[in-house]
Amino acid sequence: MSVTTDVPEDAREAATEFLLALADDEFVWGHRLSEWVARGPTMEEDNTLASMSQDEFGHARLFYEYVSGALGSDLDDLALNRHATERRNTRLVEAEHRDFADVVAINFLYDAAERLVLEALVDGEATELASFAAQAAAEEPFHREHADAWLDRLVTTDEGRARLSRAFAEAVPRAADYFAFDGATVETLLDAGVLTRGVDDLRGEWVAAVRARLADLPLDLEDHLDALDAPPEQNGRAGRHTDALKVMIDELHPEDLVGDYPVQHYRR
Amino acid sequence: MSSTTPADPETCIETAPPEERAVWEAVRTVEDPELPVSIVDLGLVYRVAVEDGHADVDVTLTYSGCPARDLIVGDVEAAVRTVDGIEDVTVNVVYAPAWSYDRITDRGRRDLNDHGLAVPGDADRPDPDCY
Repeated sequence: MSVTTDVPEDAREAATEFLLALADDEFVWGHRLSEWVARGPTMEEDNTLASMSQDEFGHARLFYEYVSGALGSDLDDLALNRHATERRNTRLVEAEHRDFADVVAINFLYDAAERLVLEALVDGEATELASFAAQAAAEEPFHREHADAWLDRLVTTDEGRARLSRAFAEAVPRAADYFAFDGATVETLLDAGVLTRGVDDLRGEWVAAVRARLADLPLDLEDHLDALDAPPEQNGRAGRHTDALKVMIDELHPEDLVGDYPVQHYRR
Repeated sequence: MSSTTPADPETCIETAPPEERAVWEAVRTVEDPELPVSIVDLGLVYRVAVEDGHADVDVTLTYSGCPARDLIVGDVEAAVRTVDGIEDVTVNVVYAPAWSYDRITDRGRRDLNDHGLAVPGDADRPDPDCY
């Protein structure tokens, strides 16, 4: 299972860059979800968020392993031993959560975008990658159902509406970098048929879907949603992250951790 | 790695040449780490090929985050190495085609049922036997 056998040579570097970004998304989001285990609003939620976290780590693993050979690396090295500045995840998934509304708002925005990218890979000509994307895409509908169910539930009270509004007001500007992939990388993937739709096309569909769903809810978010297709304030796809990511990654590598693996490979 | 639908395991075992059949039988001794059911009967084994003493086994997982992945791969490798004439084994984890309940064999359905689990869509056994 490798980019080196599945993707034509002239598109291999682009595919590797692109998939590292998707893997970082899943890895970082999996971590944020895992922080909710035993702290969810209900026992059922503890279980659910643990399962969703496990799904995201599984998808991260698929993509990290797929590109690891081309980078002369391995799964653990790519997942654990890359400094925050080397990560290419969207800033949306790295933020620290203040309350449960953050899980719901971020999950909603993120999964709606991720679905479109995965589907554009499923239809692509890199058949092994397409099978991985199909596997991940098949598991994501549960996450979207989760977000949908909680959106409907949280807006039934004043407190829920206030918390969701706050969460969306903060999450939307951070989501603006989701489709801000390097233009040349995307062009190369489109030319090679690895990706079947351009990111502007995907972003347009995502913004429309997000607006349509949120317009149905008794939330006053209109002023905030223009940020969805505005240029991002900072671009996580270009390695520009908030301090929250550095804190998370550094926690994986405490200075006093005993042992020589994976610490010995930690690149600073 | 083929994305065509793999044949049902019973057919694979019946029609396999003796060397491959021995590998299938060895793999059939591997149970899901969380269930007393063979991974062959869960429909997780898509392909067995043997050439010059080297066995190639394609295995899928019920979902990509499966924490038992390394256990299953290790168990398959160990089981196949016990087969006479097999010197080496490669286990490939594949995701095409996606696994579904339809791939569970009759024996797998019976074993799951005995364990107290119903298989969705199994009209013959809608309720598990609970003890």
